[in-house]
Amino acid sequence: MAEPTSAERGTTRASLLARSVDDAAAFGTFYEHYARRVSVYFMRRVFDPEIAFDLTAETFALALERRRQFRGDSAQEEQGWLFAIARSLLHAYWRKGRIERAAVARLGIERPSLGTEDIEYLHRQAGIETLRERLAEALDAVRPEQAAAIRARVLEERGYAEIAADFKTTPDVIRARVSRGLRTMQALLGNQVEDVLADA
Amino acid sequence: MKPDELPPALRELQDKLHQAAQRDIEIERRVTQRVRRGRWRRWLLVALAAIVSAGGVAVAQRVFDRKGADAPRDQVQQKVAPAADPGVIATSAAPDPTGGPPWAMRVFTNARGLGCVAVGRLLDGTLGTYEAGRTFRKLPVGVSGACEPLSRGGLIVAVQRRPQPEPRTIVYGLAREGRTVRVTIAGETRTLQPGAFGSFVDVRAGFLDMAEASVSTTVGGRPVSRRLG
Repeated sequence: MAEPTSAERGTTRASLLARSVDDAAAFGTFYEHYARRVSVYFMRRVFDPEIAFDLTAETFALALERRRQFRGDSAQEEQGWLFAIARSLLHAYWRKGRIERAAVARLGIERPSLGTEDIEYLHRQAGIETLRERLAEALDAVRPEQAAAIRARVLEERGYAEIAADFKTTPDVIRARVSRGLRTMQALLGNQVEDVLADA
Repeated sequence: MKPDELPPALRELQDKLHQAAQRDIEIERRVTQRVRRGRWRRWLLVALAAIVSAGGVAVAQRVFDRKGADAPRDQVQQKVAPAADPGVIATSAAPDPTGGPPWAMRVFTNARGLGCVAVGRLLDGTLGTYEAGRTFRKLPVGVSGACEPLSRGGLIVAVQRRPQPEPRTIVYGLAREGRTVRVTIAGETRTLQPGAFGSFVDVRAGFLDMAEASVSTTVGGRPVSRRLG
């Protein structure tokens, strides 16, 4: 796993986010600094490239919309502020079983499609292969229907519609089972999972 | 692709966010210019209103007579009540559900340069409130406003619950581009045509449940929405 740069650690530069209020290029640079970390943060918690990408896009869209509310002036503060948005979106996803995309829509951003290169990148950066084994072990700790949904979606990488057809239910129900199951796993395993899921 | 280089979709997302940031900054710049011009226009309107003769005041008094019947919203919107009170936007006036002076807005800039909106009853060109349900008291200029950067998202919205003279839920604000505003409270949606400077006021009887309430409009061709609950 690559070490964060000094800029990512937030020790040497002023806030790009504060500058981005009237400098669009600064927001581009801000994104460049944090896109990998944010996407890895999500990928290690939802194990699904599509969902991780949607949550990443919504996080940065909200950061863009709300950047005038940011009161800090250091990289450390902007990082904390950005990850507060990310955490909030993740918990909303776990709670509701669906992804908030309102900010992306408000900004008129068309969602890019993920290709093989993107999916491989997210798997590689998040170290998903290692996590997969831990995930399989932890599945025993959740309710059977949630474990089955997670196994089908995360381990076997099958589509929601296909899984829903197998279980004779709707894709929304499967999404909810996956998101709630993942939340339960993280809550049950606590530090043990956090060690593995620690930020890049 | 190098191992740490962002893949195509994340790159594409970066480009789109960058473009969105450029659009947002450009809109902010235009709005700031418009607000500066608007301040002059507002003072000009106030001056014109002051010049309007007492006949105009008499007409307005009939329209907004506190004891009279409820004035239809379109009538209230079209007739410019003379507002001698600085910053009061007479065209924002909306009728009270049971009659009496309409509700209207004042726009002002606070000491920190933020755009602020305040709401009250418009009586004889003066914005005020009813104390103890009876006494009309002028609302001081430059206080009791909801303030934020005028251009944030293109929509400023504030909510007030007034107990006097009867319970009211009031949603008011500014829609930057003056496009139609939709206010939804407790499942009922009203479509408002904003007055000058995109000002709008929606008054409803009672203290309503705001849990699912929202305000939406269009800014820069994009839908903009605010949840009030």
